[in-house]
Amino acid sequence: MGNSRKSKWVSASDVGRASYCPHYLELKEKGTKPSQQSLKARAKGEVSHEALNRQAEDSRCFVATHLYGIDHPNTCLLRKYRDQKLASHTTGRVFISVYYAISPYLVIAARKLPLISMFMRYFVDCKIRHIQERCEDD
Amino acid sequence: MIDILLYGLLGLAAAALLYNFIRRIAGSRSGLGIEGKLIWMDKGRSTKPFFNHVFEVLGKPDLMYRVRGGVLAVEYKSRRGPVFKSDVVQAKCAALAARGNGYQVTRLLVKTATTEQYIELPRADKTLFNEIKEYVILTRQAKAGVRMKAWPNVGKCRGCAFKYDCVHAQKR
Repeated sequence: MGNSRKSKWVSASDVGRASYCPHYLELKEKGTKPSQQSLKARAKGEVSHEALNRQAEDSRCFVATHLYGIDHPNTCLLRKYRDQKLASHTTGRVFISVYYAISPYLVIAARKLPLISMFMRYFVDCKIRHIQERCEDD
Repeated sequence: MIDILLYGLLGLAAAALLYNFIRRIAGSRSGLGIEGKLIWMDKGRSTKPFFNHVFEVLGKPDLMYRVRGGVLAVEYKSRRGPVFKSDVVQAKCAALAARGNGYQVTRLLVKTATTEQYIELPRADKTLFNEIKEYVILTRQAKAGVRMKAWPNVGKCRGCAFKYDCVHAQKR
């Protein structure tokens, strides 16, 4: 009885395969080994899923990444400033929310108009100098 | 007196408009361009699936976002090309499983490397189950050892993991 109840459970991937070709499930139940080609495709799929997860979790500084690059020391410094200083008080958190709502559009505009990038770089460079000076003082 | 009431109402309306405006500005957007907050992620084999004890289905979407009106589940396929019916069926089944654990999935995003499709889900779990019921039955039959029909198709068979062992595929 316990076994028959347990066997009623079906997984979403198997249900998907049933709509693809029910015979696939029969071969799977019989223990047929999947082809090497499909095993390679599966491994590739897992790598793609990891990339998707990284993309979904992505919370980098959009403007700094646009101006300097994803792993540039200036981008890392701004990220650290965001997480350690800004996120520690309410005003900072409101600023972060507004910044993340606006910055993707700013970056899109900056890609079209390099002049905007120049202005942004000037202001962000000033801010970075200011942060570095404060860090030195501390 | 009426003036005070009128100004009060106008003030309330202005506050409501301002509140909506701020909410729209502060609404987070994920790295995938989805407006919503990432609330769940499948991190591979270490992540346990969801179980729906009413319909006895299990599964896990790739990602789930809290969006306006409920939860959006994402099903990602790394291949290029269109979204197939089997992708949608799998995503619906995973959404039903997630509902069993309290995630009120109201919308699906099925995404391949080149295209994506949004699907609105019915509110009632029973209605959602009915949409995939025939495939759930087929899966249970296959697990019980019943001989299953093949639905051969050149495209399907080309991508099938068992094409070298399938008599139906060899005919093509």
